[in-house]
This record gives sequence, structure tokens and C-alpha cells, in this order.
Amino acid sequence: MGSHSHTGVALDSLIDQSSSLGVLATELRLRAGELLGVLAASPAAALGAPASAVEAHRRLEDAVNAVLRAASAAGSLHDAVHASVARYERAEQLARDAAAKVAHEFDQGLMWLLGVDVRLFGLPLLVGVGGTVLLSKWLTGNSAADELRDFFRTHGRILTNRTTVAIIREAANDLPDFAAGLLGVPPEFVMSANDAGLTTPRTDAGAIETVGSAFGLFRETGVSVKKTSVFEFGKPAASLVDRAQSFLSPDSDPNGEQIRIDRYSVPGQADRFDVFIAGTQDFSPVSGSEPFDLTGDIAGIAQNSPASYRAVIEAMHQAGVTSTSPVVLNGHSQGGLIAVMVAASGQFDVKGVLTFGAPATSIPVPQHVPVLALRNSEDLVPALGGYDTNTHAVIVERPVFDHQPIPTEWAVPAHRLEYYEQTARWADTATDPRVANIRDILDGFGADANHVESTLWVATRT
Amino acid sequence: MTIPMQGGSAQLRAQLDHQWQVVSRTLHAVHSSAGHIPTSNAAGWHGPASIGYQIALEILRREVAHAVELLRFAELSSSEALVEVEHRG
Repeated sequence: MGSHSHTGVALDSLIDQSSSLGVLATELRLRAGELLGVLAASPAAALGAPASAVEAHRRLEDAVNAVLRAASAAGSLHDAVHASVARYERAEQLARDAAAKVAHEFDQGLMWLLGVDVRLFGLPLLVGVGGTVLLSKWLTGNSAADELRDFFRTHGRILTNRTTVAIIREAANDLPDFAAGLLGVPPEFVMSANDAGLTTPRTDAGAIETVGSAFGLFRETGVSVKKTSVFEFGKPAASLVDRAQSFLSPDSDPNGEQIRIDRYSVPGQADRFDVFIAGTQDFSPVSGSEPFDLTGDIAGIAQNSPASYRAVIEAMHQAGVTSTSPVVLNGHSQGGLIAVMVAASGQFDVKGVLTFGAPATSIPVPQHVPVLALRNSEDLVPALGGYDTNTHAVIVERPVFDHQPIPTEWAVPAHRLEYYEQTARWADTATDPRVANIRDILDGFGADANHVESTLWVATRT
Repeated sequence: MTIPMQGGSAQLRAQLDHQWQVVSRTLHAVHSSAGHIPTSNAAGWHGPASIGYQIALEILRREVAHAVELLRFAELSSSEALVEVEHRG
């Protein structure tokens, strides 16, 4: 936790509205001043002026007063909205600071209590879910996994819910305490576990990885990458939406490429590279041939060296990226996690990182690397990384289902790229200077290119 | 405040003409300015904050509309006074 910039699009809209009201107040004040000048020299006040001129003078006085009143109303509302923006940001910072302090001082006890809360209130829910799944399984004969997936699809509000996201973030941040509370372990026993340092998403994921490997789960492997296609046409990404649309779809492509690298040739300069990394393709805890799997997620959050990370590094080297080549890294989901890990590795000259729904919050990125993280409020995946540790990351968060129905086709629809495209569209027009600053860097990255070569890469576990 | 008329009816005509022009220009400007008033609660406020903001926006909208209405009257009155002064010569 720290002083990183957390900017909601709603807050950005508030800034826009404050700005509009300010323009209106200024305009009205200027016009009122002009009218007052005319009023001071009004012929109605002159000796011998006709009655109609006196009437015009009176009407002018009324109009000046009305314009002044409107100017005052616009000014007051502008000041109020402007103050709200400042308060929102200050309150958010205060809340974050307070949470950090409280977490530091009462870490174990609070998380234990939260676990108890979930045990008390969450277990009936789990029992309800489990009961429904089992009943359904008994009725239909389908597998439990299918039933569970279907249950969450048809009860989308359970997973697609900001409270669920908050609980998951807390749990991810302090899993041992959370789990201990859930299991009813007395807090005094938990204290010693925390003294051992088991309090971060990194160590928690590492523990999961270690325990899982004993049961044949989350086993990391070697990896190979292969270039499958080269396209020598296309334009550089010129907006955040362009970038959201540049990811490959391994599940719908016969080759299953996960990595795309666009090479921009700029006259008189070193070639630049835009790297687009797709998300998790296989959610099985047992490693298969797909490196962008759940094992990659766990190993990534544990800040180990997942196969997907090694594959991206290898693809970048094979594509001609050197330690001095300007690079922008883009990633969706696990791809965002890998993008942040590559930036954090310090192996490349990274000019910017853009993530969509990435559980990469706990990976420290050097201060000089601009990071823009787009998150949908109902997306639980970024919460798996716990709280943000990068003080300079700009986070744009937007609720996606406030004004549209939650689709039932997917268990976690807010994580889907199509909904991140909507958020990217908002962020493309956001006027907040922190967002605009990084957006300018990203939009201008390939602007001077006279040639674009796109290469597609498929990674396979070995 | 009473200001002695200077330059007779020609001066009065010029002053009224200037008044009409400024009022007319202001009328159009204020009317256009109404477009700067946010039309919805796009900021995403909820509950009492949302209701309070909508009410404040509505009050502002009415204040601006009222100013436009009175400016129309002022413009019309200035125009009528100008016609009368010109008619008198």
C-alpha cells in the first residue's frame, strides 16, 4: 500500500463535470460584468428618457440579477463538485493509509475475525451452493465441475460482486489468517505463523505451490516457443482500445498462439516492440501442455518463474528484442501478470506496461516504468494478487454491470476482454492528467513507425 | 442614480442600440452556456449524494433558464425603447 494513483472513471467523469460547471460559472460572470457596464450607462437613468427606456432599464436590472444568481449557482456547484473530487481522492488515500496502519498493528486479529465472518456467513452460502450442485448432479448425472461452473453462471451475482472481490483481496493478502479464521483456529496460534512471515500473496501462493506439488498439482515444467506466423501489414496501436483488441485468442485459434510481438521500424531509430500477452487458457491445477494455466498463475503470484514467463522472455529474444530496445508490455489476466514480471525483471528497456484485469498487484515495478492497470470492479481476478504495492501505478477501475445485465454464459464475465474493451474506451477519453500522461506514452509509442511486422508465438510446456 | 443626458436623442439612440446589442449577445451566450450543465449523474454518485446532485443541477438549470427568460424581456424592452426614440427622432 502507498500513495499510488487510484483513479476511477467515475471520478474522472466528476472532474469533467466540475470543469464544465467552472466554464459555465466563468461565462456567466463575464456576461454579468458586461451587462453591469451597460447598466451603469443606461439611458433610462438619463434625464428626459422616455418611459420605454425606463422600462428597458428595469428589465435590464432584472436580467443582470438573474445572470448573477445563475453565475453564483454554477460557481457554488462547481466548488462543491471540485471539493468532492479532492475529498474523494483524500478519503481514498486516508482509507488506504488507515487500512495499512490497522493491518500492520492488528493484522492477525483482524484477518482471523474476517475469516470467522466468512465462516459464519459464508459457510451457509457454500453449503447452499454445494447442496444445489450435488442435487443437480444427482438429477442430471453431470460432473461436479460442470455443475459448479453452471451454478456460478446462472447465479452470476455471487462471483460478479464487488463484496466478493473485496473479500478475495483481503483473503489473498493474508491467506493464513483468513484460512485460520475460516477453520476456527484460535488467533494465538496464528500469531506464530505470521511471525514466520506468511502474510503476503507471494508467500501464500508459494505455500499453495509447495503443498500442491506434493499432490501432483501446480508442477512447473520446461517450455518451448515457436513462431507460427508473420504479418507485414497493420498499423501500430494508437489507443487503449486498439491495445485491448490486439490480444490473440488462443482458445479459438487452431495454433493456440498466446504471444504477439509487433515490431515497429522507425527511420533513424532502434526498432521498437509492442508485446501482447494473452491470459490463462487452462484452469486445471494439473499441468498439461499449456503454460498459460493455473500453475502459471500460482507461480506468477508467488513471483517464481512460471513457464509462461520464460516463454515470453524467450519469444522476445527470438523476435529481436534486446536490452536496449524500447518495449511496451501489454497483458490480459495472466498475461498482465507476466507483463509486470517482465518489467520488474529489469532485462528490457520498458517504456510502459498496460494490464487488463491482471493479478499483478503485489509485484514491485521500478518507479521509472509507467504502469496503467485497467480493472473492472466486479472482476475477482485482480483481487487474487492482494493489495497494490506499486506506488506509481495508475489504476483505472470501472463498474461494468451497473447499467447492463450480468451475462450468464460465463462464470466471471467481468474478466472477459470484451468488457475490458468497454473500460478501455472509457479510459481513452478520460481527462484525468495521470491517465492522459500514460496514455500519451502508449499511444505515441508506435506513432512514427513506417513499417509494422507482427509475429505470433505459441508456447508449449516440455 | 441620475445621469444627465448628453448629446440629446442621438446619444440616447446610440446608448439604447449598444444596450440592445449587448443584451442580445448575452442572451445567446447564456442560452448556449446551458449546454455546459451536466445532463445526468454520469459521475456515478449513489443514494443521497446522487439525489442532492440532481437537485442542485436542476436548480442551476432553472436559474439559467430564468436568466435567459429575463434577458429576452430586456432585449425586447431595449428594442421597443430604441424604436420609440427613433420614431420621435
